[in-house]
Amino acid sequence: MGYADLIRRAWRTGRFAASVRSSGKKGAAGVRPGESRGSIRGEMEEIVRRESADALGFLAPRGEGIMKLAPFVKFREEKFGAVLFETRSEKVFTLNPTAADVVRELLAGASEGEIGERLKGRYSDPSGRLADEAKALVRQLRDKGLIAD
Amino acid sequence: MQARAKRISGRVGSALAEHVSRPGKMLRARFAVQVGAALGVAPGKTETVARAMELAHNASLLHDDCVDDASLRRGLPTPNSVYGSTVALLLGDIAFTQSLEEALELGPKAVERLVSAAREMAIGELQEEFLRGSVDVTLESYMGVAARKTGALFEWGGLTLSDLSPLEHAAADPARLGSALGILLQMVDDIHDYTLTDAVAGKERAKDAKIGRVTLPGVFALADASRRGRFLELWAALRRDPRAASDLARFLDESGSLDEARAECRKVVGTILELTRRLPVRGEVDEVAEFVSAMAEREF
Repeated sequence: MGYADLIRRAWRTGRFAASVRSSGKKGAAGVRPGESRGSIRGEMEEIVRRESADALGFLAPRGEGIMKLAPFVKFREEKFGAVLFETRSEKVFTLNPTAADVVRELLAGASEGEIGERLKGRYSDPSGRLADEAKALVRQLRDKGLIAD
Repeated sequence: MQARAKRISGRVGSALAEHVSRPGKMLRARFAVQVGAALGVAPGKTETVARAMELAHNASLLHDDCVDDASLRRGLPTPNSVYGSTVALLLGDIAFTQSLEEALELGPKAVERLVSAAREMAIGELQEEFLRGSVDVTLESYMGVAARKTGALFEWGGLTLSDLSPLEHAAADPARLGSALGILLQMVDDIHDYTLTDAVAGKERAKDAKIGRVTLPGVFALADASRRGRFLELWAALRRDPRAASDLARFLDESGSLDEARAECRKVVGTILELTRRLPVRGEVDEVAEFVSAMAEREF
């Protein structure tokens, strides 16, 4: 049922529940099963872990040869990987999980060579193909002005 | 700010209007005015940014005090303790709409971004609220929440001033500078929560621990195997008896966890000063640097 149909039905019948879920029976304390404070806390711990990159740029060591995101670029982890958001032009760059890993390492202060080595170990890729791809990605990000040295 | 209060006092009475724009330490206003000057932004515009930041901050404090059921703020009784939460929440709503009105004077982009900043602040608050009682808090996750809860508004200020600046300043990255300063403020406040007396802080001591919130000093205690056990013992004791807060504060001090938190603050100060030095109006840089140092050295 479309949104317009839902509104019409609500006006006609006086029932404003949009779905079975939102009209579900509540327990004595007004909380649906599975929506207790404790279960939300578990989910929140996971979300906060996922979003911890918001401040990684400040925690990373500073020094020669260390790359970082360019000014006005923000990194946000998502379920599908991550996005890079260039806030001035408002361009969004979508990253798959491996590319997100590359940027996460970059934010943590890894050099280009270290990123390749870490990915090789993490993804059991002795051929070094992933390391090459990581280098290519860093080059692309640099070309687009998304990272700075 | 006073003009703002006057404008609504005819609608809600002067006593209530005063709470909407009551000044505190005005750190956000100082940030806007000083960074704005160092970016060559016209003073009238920086003052608008400053007012928008202070009003949005006041809105968040009025709401926070309801969330925390706080009775004191800036050494004075909170509106929720005097008039009840309903009144305080509505005053917060007024403060936020006034902040949006200020942003509107800077253009639709500033409003759009302020809405995003307010969303991030609220999400940070919600995350913090639901992490109460959790001891699964790392330095990264703590900093991430601080970036949203406190950093987002400073970041908005930096981004807006950056848009208003007529000078080349990309290397100074004012948005990141603002965000880092916001995070620093949260870190210093969390240290103060354990180190300052009620009278000096204007709020209850070790309040965060009492409500089950692990903050920066606790993060360091939890991360160290030799301290973690004792911290968890005291943490559990605090759940049974709020008077155990002083034992926890003493442990964090004597175990070096507070010192580690101070060292982490100094690292963030270093990052901020590095960005500050790249601001384009050289004559103003020292003053911004002085402000950052003063903020970090507030008895922590």
